[in-house]
Amino acid sequence: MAGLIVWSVLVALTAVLCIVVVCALRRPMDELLKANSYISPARSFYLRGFTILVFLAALATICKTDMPSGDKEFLEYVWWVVAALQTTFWSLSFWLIGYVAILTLLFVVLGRYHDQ
Amino acid sequence: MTNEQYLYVSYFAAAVGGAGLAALTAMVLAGPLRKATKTQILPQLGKLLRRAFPSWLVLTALLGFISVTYFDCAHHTYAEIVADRAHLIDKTQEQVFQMTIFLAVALITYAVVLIAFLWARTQQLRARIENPRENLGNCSTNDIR
Repeated sequence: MAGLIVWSVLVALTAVLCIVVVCALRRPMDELLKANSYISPARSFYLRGFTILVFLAALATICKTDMPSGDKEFLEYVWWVVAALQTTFWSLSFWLIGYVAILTLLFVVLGRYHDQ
Repeated sequence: MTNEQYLYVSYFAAAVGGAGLAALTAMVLAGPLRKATKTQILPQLGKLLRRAFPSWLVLTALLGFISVTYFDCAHHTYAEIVADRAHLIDKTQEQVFQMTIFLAVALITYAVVLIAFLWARTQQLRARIENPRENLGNCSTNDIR
């Protein structure tokens, strides 16, 4: 039972982390994509795609994490959560930088065109 | 639940769940994709991109699913696989992981394809603006919106 509770805490923390990342980056990304009329039709695709990607990355990490056994001390559970979160951070960083690279490519290709 | 029953249920549930997740992703992104690709310039290509998107996501998720095999060094036969419950759980987790990762990669790849589409459309639009004689319709920058 304790293992399930700790695993649920990990899921909740991961969800909060995803929401924070999405909320922090969504508005600047929106403003960036809105600035160029050649790119702006695809704005909502890239924004929603980003949100989905962040949650998929988190889901991939969560589903690989086994539930801890129920015979540990409190601090051991904390260490377990921290270790699991480390993997989530790695995964999110990787996908985030990948998406930023895609947006950079978008502006390399289309950024030189300006509105008439 | 016996190990064999668990294998049946988890195998098909993982496949259906992954395909469902891909279909859900396609549904969430269908509207924005329509907005991005439905214009007077390159309409056929836009239509093709819209039609291909759900199939692309579902097929990629299923590719992730089938990329996981139950056979490894310690499990050579069906009987050995079914006897090991921990192995079954591990493989189910791996299937879900692979489907999610493949789906994320598919999404990123489609974002790159969309960049190519936007670039091609911009090129066509600018060519029409710069060469009015070849201009078949009355195109302006507003046409891409």
